Amino acid sequence: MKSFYTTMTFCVFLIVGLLSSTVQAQVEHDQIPIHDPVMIEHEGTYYAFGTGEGISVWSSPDMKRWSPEEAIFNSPPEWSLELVPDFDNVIWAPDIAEHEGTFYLYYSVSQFGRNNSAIGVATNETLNPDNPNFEWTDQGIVVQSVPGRDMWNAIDANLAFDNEGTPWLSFGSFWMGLKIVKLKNNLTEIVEAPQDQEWHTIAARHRHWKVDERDAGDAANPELDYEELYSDDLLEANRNMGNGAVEAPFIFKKNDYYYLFVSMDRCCRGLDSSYKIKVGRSKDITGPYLDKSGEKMIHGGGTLIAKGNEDWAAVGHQAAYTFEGTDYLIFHGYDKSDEGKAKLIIREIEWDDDWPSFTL
Amino acid sequence: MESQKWVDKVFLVVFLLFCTVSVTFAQPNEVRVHDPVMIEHKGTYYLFSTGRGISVWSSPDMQDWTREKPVFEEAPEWTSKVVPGFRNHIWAPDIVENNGTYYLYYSVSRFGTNNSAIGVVTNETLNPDDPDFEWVDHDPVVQSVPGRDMWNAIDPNLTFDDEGTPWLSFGSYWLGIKIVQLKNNLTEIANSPQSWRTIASRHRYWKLDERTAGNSYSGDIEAPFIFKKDGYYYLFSSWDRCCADEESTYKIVVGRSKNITGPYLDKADQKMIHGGGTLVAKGKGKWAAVGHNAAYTFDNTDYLLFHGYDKTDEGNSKLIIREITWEDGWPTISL
Repeated sequence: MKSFYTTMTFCVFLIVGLLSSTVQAQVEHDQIPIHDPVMIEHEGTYYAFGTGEGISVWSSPDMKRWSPEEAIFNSPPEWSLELVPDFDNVIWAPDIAEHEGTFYLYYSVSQFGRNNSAIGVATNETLNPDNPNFEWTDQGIVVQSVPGRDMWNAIDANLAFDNEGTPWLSFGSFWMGLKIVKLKNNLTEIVEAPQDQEWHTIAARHRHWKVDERDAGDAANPELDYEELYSDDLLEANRNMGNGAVEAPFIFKKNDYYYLFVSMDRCCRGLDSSYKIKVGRSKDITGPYLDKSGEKMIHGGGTLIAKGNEDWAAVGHQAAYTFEGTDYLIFHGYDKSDEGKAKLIIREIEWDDDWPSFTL
Repeated sequence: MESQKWVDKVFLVVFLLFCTVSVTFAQPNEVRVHDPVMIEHKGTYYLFSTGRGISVWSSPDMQDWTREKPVFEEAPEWTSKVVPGFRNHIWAPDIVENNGTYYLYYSVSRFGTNNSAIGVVTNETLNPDDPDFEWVDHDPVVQSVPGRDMWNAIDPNLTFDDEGTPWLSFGSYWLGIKIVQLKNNLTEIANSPQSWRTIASRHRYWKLDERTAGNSYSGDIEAPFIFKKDGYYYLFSSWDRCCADEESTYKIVVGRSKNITGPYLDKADQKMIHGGGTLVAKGKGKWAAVGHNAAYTFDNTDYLLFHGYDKTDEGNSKLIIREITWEDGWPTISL
């Protein structure tokens, strides 16, 4: 009897194990729990990276069936603990790019509601974990924001090259909007001498001038006393995303334009999120980016291309890629049918009169 | 012989006239300065101000001023990297003594841009006749970058808080006056975590280009000076338009705080970061406008020191020194 039970227990474990490993090994893409996804194709495999402990990684042969991979960082990058002493290794909003045979993975270290933040970068010669050369090397901080000094937030990085091949990092934000800064050719540093640096704001929304400099614009910094700081109106405006709610830039080159995709309003609140995707374009990577109606994105402009619908409470934090001649927008959506959990969404971009659109 | 006497007499008269003119010019109101600061050292008052290589004056009594050699014969080497073609016209110095060393902070900029830096040069003495007299320049203390920063690295003022920690306030236009903690060497910003605050600002229209300083409707505030008195830090600052001779509208305002990092409140309890500030002085009589003040205690008397644009002299900028009268804990002067 005992051996029967043992055998039965073993069989149950085996079946459960097989089932779960099947479920874990390959997940249809609209069931992948992911936040702030970016993607790249390497040797016939698609790799997706997203916000998560040590940076979440998934791989897929077809952008449909996805398998989880090991995280990039087993422990927090050394410098991150100096910046945020109790950093929990939950790393935000990566960006992946390949340049001359090296993969660059930019990532954000921050704390919700604060701009005590930095963008770091890790490099690898391959993305294939089975390749003997596979090894992530952290290159440290690319750009850092300092509370009280900076009216921007060093999060949500995106690397883009201009038509002359000069690398630029766009990033941010809330506060006074999205920045773009010129990088050195090593792609891991800004020029050291301040006078040789080049910076621009590329998108911003109105922010009431009495919003505290340590407040993103959403009254989410736990270090501040909002009842003391603000009038009721101002606090209400902050809580309704009325003061500079723009983040997550992504620049995509097409049709002789640089297209700047951004996310506006509230992320990360499940069913209560109001995140949405807007776009503008420019002939110069540093802007000015104009929306379809000619409004400047630094003055709050942006043409809406996706927001919540009957299936998705809200969508945002997009990236855009061309794979095998097709342009894709990838982003996350808060799934109404699954308690507002964030899931991967991939859609083909259609171009109407040189403006991107798709069906959610 | 007679003619020789006559020549002697003429010479004497001319000489006396010359002396009279010199003495007249040496009155404090006739010292042409912009953005003056002052310190007393071994019985002599030294005044530093905006000018080629930083202008220097000395006086035994704050009345009779003698021009001294400027601090920099040539612009510090680093300045041409920050501002290409920089011509050694250095703005708004600040002078302080600490542990026997004199620290002279100064601004390198270009009008209307925040492509700017605050430098510091040190000396063991201010007496040019002292064999140890030698100005030693250091790397810039703080630098602002167009497109990155909504502040301007000009108009520095060093202050120690009650715990002896050094802070540099400075700025600005853009989004206002900043304060940042320094290392104990007084020449560098304190290490991470850097400690920064905005301590005074005025409304700035949000669509103004980030490379624009502001204008008479947006963010026109600069020249902080922090003065400790009776348990308060008093933050003086200048509003509106400087440097336009008789067209200037420059004025001095003040607020106070129990903490060096603020919040600074004016007499009506309005926060200076929200545009508050109690008026201390503005244009009156022969003065079209006044501003860019410093405050000191010399021999138990508190003085406010600033410049005024003289209507009777084509709006030229002159030194003004006034005793401060304290009324219910607030500084006042009669212009």
